[in-house]
Amino acid sequence: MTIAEFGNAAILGGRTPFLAPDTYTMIIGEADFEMGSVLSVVLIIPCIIIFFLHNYMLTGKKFTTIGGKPVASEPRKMTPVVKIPFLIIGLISVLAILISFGVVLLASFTKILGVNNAIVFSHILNFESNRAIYNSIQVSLIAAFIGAIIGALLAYVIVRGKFFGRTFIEMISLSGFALPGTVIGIGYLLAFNAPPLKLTGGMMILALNCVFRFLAVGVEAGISKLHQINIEIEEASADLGANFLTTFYKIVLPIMFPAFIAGFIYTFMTAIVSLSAVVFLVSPGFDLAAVKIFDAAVYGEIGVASATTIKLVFIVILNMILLNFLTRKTGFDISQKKGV
Amino acid sequence: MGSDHSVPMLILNDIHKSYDRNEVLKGITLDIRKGELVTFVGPSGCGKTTLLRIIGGFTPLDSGQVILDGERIDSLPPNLRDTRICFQNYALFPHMTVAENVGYGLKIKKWKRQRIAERVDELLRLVKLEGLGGRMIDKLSGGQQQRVALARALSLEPKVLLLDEPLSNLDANLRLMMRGEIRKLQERLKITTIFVTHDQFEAMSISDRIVVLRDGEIQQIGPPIEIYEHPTNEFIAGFVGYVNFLDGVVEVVDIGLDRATLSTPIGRVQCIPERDINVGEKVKLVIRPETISLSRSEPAQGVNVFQGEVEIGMYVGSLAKYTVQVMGERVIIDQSNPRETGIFKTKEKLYLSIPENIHLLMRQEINHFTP
Repeated sequence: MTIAEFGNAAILGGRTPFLAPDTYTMIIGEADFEMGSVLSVVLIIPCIIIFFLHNYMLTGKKFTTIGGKPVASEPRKMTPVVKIPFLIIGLISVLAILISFGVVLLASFTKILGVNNAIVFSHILNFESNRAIYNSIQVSLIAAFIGAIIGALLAYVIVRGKFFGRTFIEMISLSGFALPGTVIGIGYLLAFNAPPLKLTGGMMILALNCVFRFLAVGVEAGISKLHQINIEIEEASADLGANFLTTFYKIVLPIMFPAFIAGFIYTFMTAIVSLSAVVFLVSPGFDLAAVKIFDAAVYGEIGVASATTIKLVFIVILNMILLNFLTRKTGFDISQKKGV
Repeated sequence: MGSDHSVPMLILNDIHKSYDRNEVLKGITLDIRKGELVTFVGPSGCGKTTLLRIIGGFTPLDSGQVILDGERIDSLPPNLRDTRICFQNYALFPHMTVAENVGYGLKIKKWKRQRIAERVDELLRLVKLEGLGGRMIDKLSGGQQQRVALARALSLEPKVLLLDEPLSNLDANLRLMMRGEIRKLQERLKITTIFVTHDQFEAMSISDRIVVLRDGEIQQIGPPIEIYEHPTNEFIAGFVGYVNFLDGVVEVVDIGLDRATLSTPIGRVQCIPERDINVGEKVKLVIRPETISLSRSEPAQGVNVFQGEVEIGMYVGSLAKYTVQVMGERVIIDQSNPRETGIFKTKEKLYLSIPENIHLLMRQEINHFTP
């Protein structure tokens, strides 16, 4: 995933050229779609190799998610020789994350962090930033809703369907995760820029892009839930006279509901922070939060960038709390999500 | 036993089924009468569950016919068949209450709400779950869940009730109790029932007739007593309880006295032949452990008495199990009520008497896969 990294490479990379940001510059800056496409293909190759490698290494290895009786795990005693270095490494990692958040938090409330440390609220109250956040929430909600529905249906087809090409459907539905956002963004830009499928310049292309990029999330949530539902439950429904639709509506959907919710929240969370694909698809006057952060950072408006970031982080944290709460309430374990 | 012997409710005709070239059912033909409880029993992989699923419509068959009450149903989906199944793990709907589970089929059939409520109450009374209608499924014990599954399957008064190892998830005592209850309920409702189990004792105790399956073929069909006393091959003899096999050759046949003498590794054994046998024929003697009696003193009646030495004795309370060496052959003997008959020690020399009504397997019935 790191190889296709866009946002960090673009902002922190300085003059060192990176593949993903260069592709962006090629398209947005120089309007050279041909060269951009070429770079995308180059970008895809390592991703595809890794995707297949990953699939290859996972085949034949079954991961048991729920295995028989729960046994209370007892914390094991560790010798200090192992414990102390591990603790130090762990603490350093935690500290690195906390510092970056801390700096961002400070930057959103100071005029220019390190230069003029006067406390201001203008960044947090910045109108464009707030509008971008509002847009992001809107787009992500639409994406989450559509994504969760399609994800649940696809999961059902993948798990219960017995037809040729089922694995292919599964792979395609999960590929959005493996492909670099930059590539998908350019793909959407080129595909939907002209009739008959002209979608560019609207909210819908952003939402749909998020739906298909993060479809894997909803699909995986659905798949892991469906694996817990014994097929005999559906057979029992059929046995009692229900046809397929009735069984789906009365039995499968209610049981899959927690997976649907998990898929919804996951898609929402990933969509709202994603940048690499949507950066190609936003239109002037309809900014998304992630794009706003990127643009502000590029223009040196660190305060606005930080403030927008803080708001996004806040939204994501709220979501995680919500998901945690639902997990405990419905018994749907989010940690069962496997794969990428 | 309470079944109407004239009318076949379910006819299976030459049913074949394969999974990837592996033939799991090799031409099953069987009539099940109205009101009868028939058990499919056999070791795992014998095809019993596949056969049940074919009857229920969950597994398509390759060839053959399933005829229910005169109507061919093998191409109908489960929801259009008048059979109801109780799955091994009950397959209750986890997001519904007990009453909603039991009333599910009635609701699908568009019964009026009031009628559903009445019928559900009646069914819950039938399976002794009165007052638990409002409970969620996960708040029930295993035995209660079993009853809910049963009530749900009975709700639409099916022509045939299919029970797939219904008791295998219950502990031993509950199992015994539910076994009796299922039988009582079945006899009361006179409902034609197919009961799948791998437990031969369960099959023996509950069935009107037992169908012994093995490797996708029917080995024997008959009432429990016939299966136990007159198994038609070695596999069945060994499957429905422990058995001593002795190789024998017919030495003398006395038609007047209706007796035959067989030479066996433990000596000459006299028996009352069930069928025509000829001198020189090779047979296998099937002797159940509980039919042999043991004593310290020589019994007065002198037929089929042998001397042996106790190799291992196991006291199990209700009976004592002995392994006795007789002329180099190991014979297993069960003595019921050991307090009366005496408890014997290892190395003790004893007299065994074997009754004359011994079941014999003829040469063609002796197969090579003794379990």
